[in-house]
Amino acid sequence: MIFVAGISWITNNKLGTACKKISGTYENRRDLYSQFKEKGIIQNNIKNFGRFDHVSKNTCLVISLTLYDADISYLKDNMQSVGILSTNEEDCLNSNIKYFKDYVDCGRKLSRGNLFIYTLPSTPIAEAAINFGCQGPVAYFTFKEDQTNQLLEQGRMMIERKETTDLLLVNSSEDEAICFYLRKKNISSENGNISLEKIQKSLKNTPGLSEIINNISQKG
Amino acid sequence: MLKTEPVIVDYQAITPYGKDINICWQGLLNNKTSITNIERFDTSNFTSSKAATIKDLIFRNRKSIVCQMLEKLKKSVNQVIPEDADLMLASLNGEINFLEEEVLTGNINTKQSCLGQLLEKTSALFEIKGKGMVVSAACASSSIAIARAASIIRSGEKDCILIVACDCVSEFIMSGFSSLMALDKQSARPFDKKREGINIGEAAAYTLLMSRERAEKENRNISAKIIGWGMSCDANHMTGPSIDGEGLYLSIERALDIGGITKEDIKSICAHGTGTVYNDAMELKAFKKMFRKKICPAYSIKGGIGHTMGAAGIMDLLIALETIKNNVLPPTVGVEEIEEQAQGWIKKEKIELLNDIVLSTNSGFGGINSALIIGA
Repeated sequence: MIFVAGISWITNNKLGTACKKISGTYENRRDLYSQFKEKGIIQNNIKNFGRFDHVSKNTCLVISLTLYDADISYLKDNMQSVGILSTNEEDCLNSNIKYFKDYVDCGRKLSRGNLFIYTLPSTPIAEAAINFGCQGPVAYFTFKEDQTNQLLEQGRMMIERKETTDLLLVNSSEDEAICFYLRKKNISSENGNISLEKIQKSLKNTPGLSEIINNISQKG
Repeated sequence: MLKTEPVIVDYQAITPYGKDINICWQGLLNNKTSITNIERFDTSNFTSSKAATIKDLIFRNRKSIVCQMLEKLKKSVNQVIPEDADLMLASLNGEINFLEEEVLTGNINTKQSCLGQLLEKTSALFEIKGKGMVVSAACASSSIAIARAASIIRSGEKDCILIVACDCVSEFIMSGFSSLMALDKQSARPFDKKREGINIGEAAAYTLLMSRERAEKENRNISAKIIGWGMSCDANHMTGPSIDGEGLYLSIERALDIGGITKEDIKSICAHGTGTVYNDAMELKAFKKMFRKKICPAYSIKGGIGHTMGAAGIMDLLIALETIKNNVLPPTVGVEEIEEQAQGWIKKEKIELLNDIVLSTNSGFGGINSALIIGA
């Protein structure tokens, strides 16, 4: 059986987790990083966080919260077998526009490498892998429909087939994000880990990211 | 369903060499490069003007470059692609030229360049009725798509998956790699002492995977089987590979584990071999750590075809299939003075050998690594 050891979500003004039942509101996304630091949700500084694009920031914040929800201390040496898969509906569209517009506005002579690196859909999870020390599989997937549920299904298959033991699955847009921590073993009994099957059943016929966040936050 | 073996029953590629994988194979075998000066856009402000481009594509005028490549690919399909196949599309930037045109005209209001849109178009073009999925994992995108497809087939959840990969040479990409000082002014020289970087290339390619049972039932020509696959992340740096090759080593180790074979079974390596100082050095470290005293013949195709980004993994696979079929490894096109660490591994000329099991590796931005093992 595969367990979901942690779930968390962040919207424009709310955040929450499923296992520790944290829920809260906030006013300014820029303050979230320092709030997470103060509360010990972010245990180590996220290097270069200030220059991340919006999706990368959301991805790293929601992963921090999910690891906290799963009671996992993300010291680099302990994360070798953890992989990260992500999805969303617009890839890195806004970062692509930002990069190329800047290049054109500057006369099409020289572009900015620090913007160019965010023009890959897999960059946000690569930033997360670097920060959290995740050496498992890292890939971005997008589907014709039902992004989050199909991502959960890909995660299930990869763990069942022993391609990795643990996975962080993230659906992250510029406005909101949700993350699930999947693992083969139910190690932490205190948090009352949930079976993936149960999560998948409860999210069936809930295709949109906002609807999924509503669904999970209401059920707690 | 019972567990089964994923096999390759068809493949094809459109590359700067021409409209058939065999033309590409012959070009590489004859040590010819397809890298030339870019004519598509002005490169005078970039650190290199070289790339491997497909010549007869319409640029601008709201024409999708990758769709033009995919349409040519569709016309070159060798066998019937079953409509019940699932589709996996691998790409980094897809129809990025749409976004370029939108920015240049100041009319940025569509999501035309999003990969989901390209997935829909590719499904329609190849008349696929099954599920569709995009895989984007930097320059390991298509090898990870192949790994996912092989895994799904082996588990018995699906018995037929089409993997399509494509990326194009664009001002968007060239400007980025130029700013990172990652381009070679000359044609790329993987594993050469004086290598300076990559040349971008473009390609569209597909491979059709089936379960062995279905392939035999349909009397398909089985080219090879996918034996093992592994994926990892360096978790180290966004643009630079790890110094010690540990991430790639992990991928190879996982691929051997999944395949249930040992490193002694590997006869040759299709290396990622981009031509950057750091990538090639990292790969050699990973190979030496894995194979220890054994020297395993290796080659890179990027001095011939350029770095085809999201299509790099599938192009490596397709050429590896040719090496198995012909029991010949191509020379590493572009290499003149083989770097010290690559001595014995890399050759300037083709090598004849009994080549029944091949390792193919890819690595990309963010430290994403993949390893595929295929066999006769």
